[in-house]
Amino acid sequence: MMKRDECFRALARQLRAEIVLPVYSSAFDWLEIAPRALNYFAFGAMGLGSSHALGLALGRPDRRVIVLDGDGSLLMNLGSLVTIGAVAPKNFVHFLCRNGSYEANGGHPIPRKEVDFSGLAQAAGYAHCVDFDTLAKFESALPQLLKQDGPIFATLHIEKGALSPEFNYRSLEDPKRRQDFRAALRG
Amino acid sequence: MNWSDTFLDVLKKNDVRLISYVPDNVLTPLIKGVTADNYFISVNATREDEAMGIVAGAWMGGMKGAVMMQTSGFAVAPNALASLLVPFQIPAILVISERGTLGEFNIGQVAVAKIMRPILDTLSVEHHTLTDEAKLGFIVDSSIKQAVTTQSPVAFILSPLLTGGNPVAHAKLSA
Repeated sequence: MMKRDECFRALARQLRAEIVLPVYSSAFDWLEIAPRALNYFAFGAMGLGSSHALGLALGRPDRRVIVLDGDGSLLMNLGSLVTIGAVAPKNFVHFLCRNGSYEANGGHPIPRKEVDFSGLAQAAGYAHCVDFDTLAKFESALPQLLKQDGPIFATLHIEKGALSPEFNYRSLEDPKRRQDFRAALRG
Repeated sequence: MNWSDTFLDVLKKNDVRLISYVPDNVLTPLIKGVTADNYFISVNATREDEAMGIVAGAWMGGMKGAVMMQTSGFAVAPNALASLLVPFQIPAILVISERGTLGEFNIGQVAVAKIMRPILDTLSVEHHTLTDEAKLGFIVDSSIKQAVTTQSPVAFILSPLLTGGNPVAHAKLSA
């Protein structure tokens, strides 16, 4: 098992011009670790992070799009795996933070903790699907993983975070972040 | 031109390239037209809210998009409309083939047809019911420009008066 913030620090060290789209609890961790204009916070209806990312990957084929999804979130939009598998954008990277719980909503467990998300992605047609449960393996695999043609799916087996942390939604949803994001993409 | 060619022509003229759709019988000429034309990027989505998420992401990346769905599919999507497209000012073009009226056999479709416009009105989403091919070009073109300029979604409801309705429904009614 890994800690989410440690995984994100390892990822942040590898990034250049990629678009990163973190959902829910991941968004707050990511914002603290890597505050950059090319972050897209998947606002609005829960579960649609992977779909926002698919739209971005199609709209900007020149950029790699990395979605930092949650297991509870993905379960709300599981069909998106099949849609992404069918469209098969090469610039699409899907990280799934798997902690077996709806962390942002009271820490309740997901319906079945043992579900094999990488196996689901594989069956849906993703080009590469892997699991990571130690930080050392994740860190050493990352540079190569990020160079492969997508869609790529990686399940990150992480520990549950703190219950009811102090999430600053006002900062996260500041309209200026969206303006900065679009300006950074134009620039 | 028939209604679907006119409709797709207006989308093209307004640079609406990404078309995400949940398949439907009445939408067939639009879906066939989109998938046959390399100008469009078409995505067959599994649900209507998923399709709205895809179009939201594309817009943030600088590409305009439309979501095509059936009346009952619209009823899946009010969460994505109310908490994503409206508050975050995404000018998604919503195209809804109208079921539940003018010869419907399915009671579920009838119920959703009655709440569709009130939901759009409650969310202050501009909507137009397209009944006549002669007026379609003006309505769709001006409304897409308005949606983009004012950064708001817009919905076009394709009436059976325009499309001829669902042939399966007609067959079941007369059986």
